[in-house]
Formats: sequence, C-alpha cells, structure tokens
Amino acid sequence: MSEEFSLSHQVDGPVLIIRTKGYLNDLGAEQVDEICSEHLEKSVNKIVINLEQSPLINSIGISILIGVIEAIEESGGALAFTNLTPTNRKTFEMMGLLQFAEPFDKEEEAVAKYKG
Amino acid sequence: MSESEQTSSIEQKMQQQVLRYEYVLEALSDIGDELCRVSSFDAQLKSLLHLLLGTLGVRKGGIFLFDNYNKRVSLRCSWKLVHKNFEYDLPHDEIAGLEADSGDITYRAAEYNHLRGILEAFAEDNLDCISILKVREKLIGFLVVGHKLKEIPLTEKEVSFLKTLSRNISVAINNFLLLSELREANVRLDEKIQEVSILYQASQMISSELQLQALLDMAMSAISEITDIERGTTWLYEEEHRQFNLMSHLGDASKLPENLALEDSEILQIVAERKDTFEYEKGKSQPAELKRLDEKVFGEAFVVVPILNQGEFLGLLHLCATA
Repeated sequence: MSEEFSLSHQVDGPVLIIRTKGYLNDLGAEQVDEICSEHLEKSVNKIVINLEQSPLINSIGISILIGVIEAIEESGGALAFTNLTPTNRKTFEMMGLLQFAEPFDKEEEAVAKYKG
Repeated sequence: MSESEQTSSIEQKMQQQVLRYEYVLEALSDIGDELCRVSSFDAQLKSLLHLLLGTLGVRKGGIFLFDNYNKRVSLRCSWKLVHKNFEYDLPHDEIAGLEADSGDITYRAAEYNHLRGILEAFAEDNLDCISILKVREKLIGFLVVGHKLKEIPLTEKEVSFLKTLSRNISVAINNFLLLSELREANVRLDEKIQEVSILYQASQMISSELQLQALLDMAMSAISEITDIERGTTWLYEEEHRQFNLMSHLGDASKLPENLALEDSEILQIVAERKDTFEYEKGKSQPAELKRLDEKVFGEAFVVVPILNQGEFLGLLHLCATA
C-alpha cells in the first residue's frame, strides 16, 4: 500500500494518455487532476487513464477522480479508464463513475476509439 | 416482470449494497492509515474531507472551523469550492441558535435557515448538504458537500451516512484541538520550569557567594584573634576584568576602593607574578617608593599572601603591621 506513486503522460493526437503506477490516494489522484486540468485548458479533452499498475485506489482517490470526470464532462470531452482490476471496476461501477467514463480492457482500444 | 427476474433484481441490489458496505468499510480503514501517515492537522482534515467525498461520490466540499475567541468561522479545508479561503464573523445570536439547536445536525443546504450569509457566498457551488460540527453543545464548525455527478442529490441513506461521519469528524477535530491546548500548556509549563531552574541556580550562586563572604570574614577575624594585626584585607582576583575585588577587611575600610585594577598596583602585579608570599617594609624592601594607591591600600609595612588553588592564582590576603 505504501508503494510510491508515479505517473507518466503523453498526448497522442487529440488524446491525453495518463499511466499511473502505485497506490492512487490523495497525492496520486491530485497529480492526475492537475495534468487533466492542464490539458483541458489546452482543449485536449479526450482522456484515457491506464490504471494497470494501480491496483489500489482508495476513497480519497475516487473523490478526486469524480472531480476529473465532472471537469471533462463540462468541457464536452470524454474519459476512459483502461486495464481496471476487477475490484476497481466494481468500485467504479458502484460509485457511478462508469456512467460517465467508459471502461476498456486495453489502452490501445480506448485511444483508437477516441482517435477515430 | 417474472418472479425469477424479480428475485434476480433483488439479488443484484443486495450485492450492490454489500459492495457498498465493503467499500465504506475499506474507506474507513484507509482513513485510519491516512491519519496515521500524515501528522499535520490540515493534512488530516483534508483526508477526512476526501473520505467523505469519496464515499458519498461527491465532487466538492469543505470544512469550516469556528474560532470561539474571535467568533469567526474560516474555511480550513476545501476541494473544488469557488472560494479557497473564506472567513465570516458569526453574530452572537446565530452562534447561540446553532449551539442551542439540539435537533438534527445534517440538513439540505437549500432548506437550512442558519448560516445563510455563508451559504449564499457559495451559491455557485450548488451545495447539497450542510452538517453542523458540535461536541455536546459546543460549536466546532460545519462542513458542506456538493451534489453527486450530474448534480444528483444525495439519497436519504447517504445523508444519514454523512450525519454519522460528521459526528465522528466533530469528535476528531475536538480531540485535536484539546490535544493542541494540552501541548501549548505543556510548552508553557516547560518554560516555567526552566525559569524556576534558572532562579534556583541563581539563588544557589547567591547562597554560595554569601558562604564565601562569611568564610573570608571568619578567616580575617581568626587572624586578628591569633595575631596583633589590626588592619588587613582579602582581595579576590577577577580574571575577566583583570581586577581585584575587596571581599573582606579588618579595621577601617572607609578609604579602601571596592576594587583594584591589576595594572594600577605594583604590589598586586608582584604577587600575581610570583605567586608567593611577599613582605614589604618601606625603606628596606623593593620598590623603594610605593605608588600612592599601593601605600593607601596596603600601608608602609605589610605581608601579602597569595590565595592559590592548584597553582591557580585566586586572590590575596594582605596583613598590615600595627603602627
């Protein structure tokens, strides 16, 4: 649980791809929030968050991701979560996140959809 | 809907409920970890706020604390609210009203009659609920939360959950404030102990000075009893100022200075240098002529005995022959 959080991101055409690594708690989710806000300001509003290497996401992380979803919605963009563990998928479903963000098994699938 | 479909739907709902409970329990466990991990009060408050938002599925919220001394509420921690800093002076009647209200603590923001000035300042946030943070009747502050995604209001169960968490947050904040007061009191106590300790040391020093004085007086008195000396002095050397202080005397001391600089007295220089008993008689010893000051202090015929401790020169005893 104490694994240090890190994050990488790249812009592929109209899509911002964020790959997280480690426990997604307040500090981690705030970084995601910052990068998303930064790119939304530049009108990059199609965002793919690959959570393959973040099997643990706590309630604090969820609260921040809710804010990210709302900001993307407001900008008329779209958000996808990819490589979710079954636990994270259930949690996201239960918290209603997947009503506003699409889950994908693979990052490439989400990117392909948003680029197409 | 067929019976089997109905059963399946109920099962699904039950499963969802179980998942929800599991999630909330995990969240509560997470918050325990967070509170242990971070030590600053602000970081802990922020974690508590995010716990609330994350378990309720709400995007924004804030915790306001009430300062009883200034009668002012301030936004201490917030997430995505329109104002990051906010202060508001609460009128006395409003404080009294909030403290006297023994009913519910959690309300829909739009229907809440108190704190209107604050809620209006955050109107843009379209807040859903407000919870008053109190311990017994004491007002600690309040917290506000926004709607869920797509401005969906919290369900009654969620409001009830918010109420339960708010009570726990009130106790946590109150405990922290009490602990802070205790820590401050401890710091003040430590300072007082240090002051007392310094005073004790000073009194010990004064006491030992007095003992030294008594000892030197006693020595001088004993000398006068066993000899026919009628005049004498004891001087202690103060290295820092290179001067001798008059500590004790026999006979008339009205014309004696309280201290003598080493450089002003030839006799003192001789004794300090030789560290040995020095006898002097005018006309028979060197120097042939004494300085006026030396003659005034030591007389024309005298003995000077250095006071030494393990070779270190501490002062001198001067005994002057009777006329």
